[in-house]
Amino acid sequence: MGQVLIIDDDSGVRDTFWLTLEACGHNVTTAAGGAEGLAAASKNTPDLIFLDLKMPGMNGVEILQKLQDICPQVPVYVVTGFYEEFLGPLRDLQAKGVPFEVARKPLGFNEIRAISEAVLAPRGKPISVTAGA
Amino acid sequence: MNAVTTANRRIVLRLFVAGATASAEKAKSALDTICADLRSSDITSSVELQVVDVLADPDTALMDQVFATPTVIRVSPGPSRRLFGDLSSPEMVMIGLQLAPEATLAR
Repeated sequence: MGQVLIIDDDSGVRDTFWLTLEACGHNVTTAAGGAEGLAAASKNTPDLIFLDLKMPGMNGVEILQKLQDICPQVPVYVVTGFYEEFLGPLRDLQAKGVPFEVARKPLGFNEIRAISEAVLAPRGKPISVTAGA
Repeated sequence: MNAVTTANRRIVLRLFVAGATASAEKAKSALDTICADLRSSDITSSVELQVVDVLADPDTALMDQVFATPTVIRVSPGPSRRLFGDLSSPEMVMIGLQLAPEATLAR
């Protein structure tokens, strides 16, 4: 069981993550934006963060940089469309040595579960998945 | 285990990563080991490892329906198999992708 932080401005997405991860036995904190998400990460260090890239106000890239200062060891999955316009800014962050993984939006139940299992319940072996999981 | 008989078959593995993360480097290292082992065992005609950085080439990730990094797909021989998550153990990845030398199958 782990502590998972979801930072996404879409309430439907937050609900999907919450339902899926709670069903997997994890404790889930959700945040609708960057400020709320950074405050949550500061208050209670999570074990895994799912971060939406495109949000009003502080965007995912800025939040990711700040998360590096707050909790640099916490794995972050940036959830975004796999399109050049979204991924370009992330390349700059990579070049600066900010580590993260990416996940394609939208994520379904099985995909969220696979990611949480890989990070929070590692068994020393990979997870077999299907196309689009 | 219904492992694939790889004799005389071309093996193509495609690894999807998000830049040069620690997990990406471990996965590359494990897959390099697997490819070297397969080549030295002389059980297949050729082995190819393709590494796709999703940040630089998202189109390939979309076409292959990859949902997150790191993911490795056994593209050939078919049917394809794919693994996600901890790809650091050559043995575990080899088992998961059902790549086995004929000598192992013959036992």
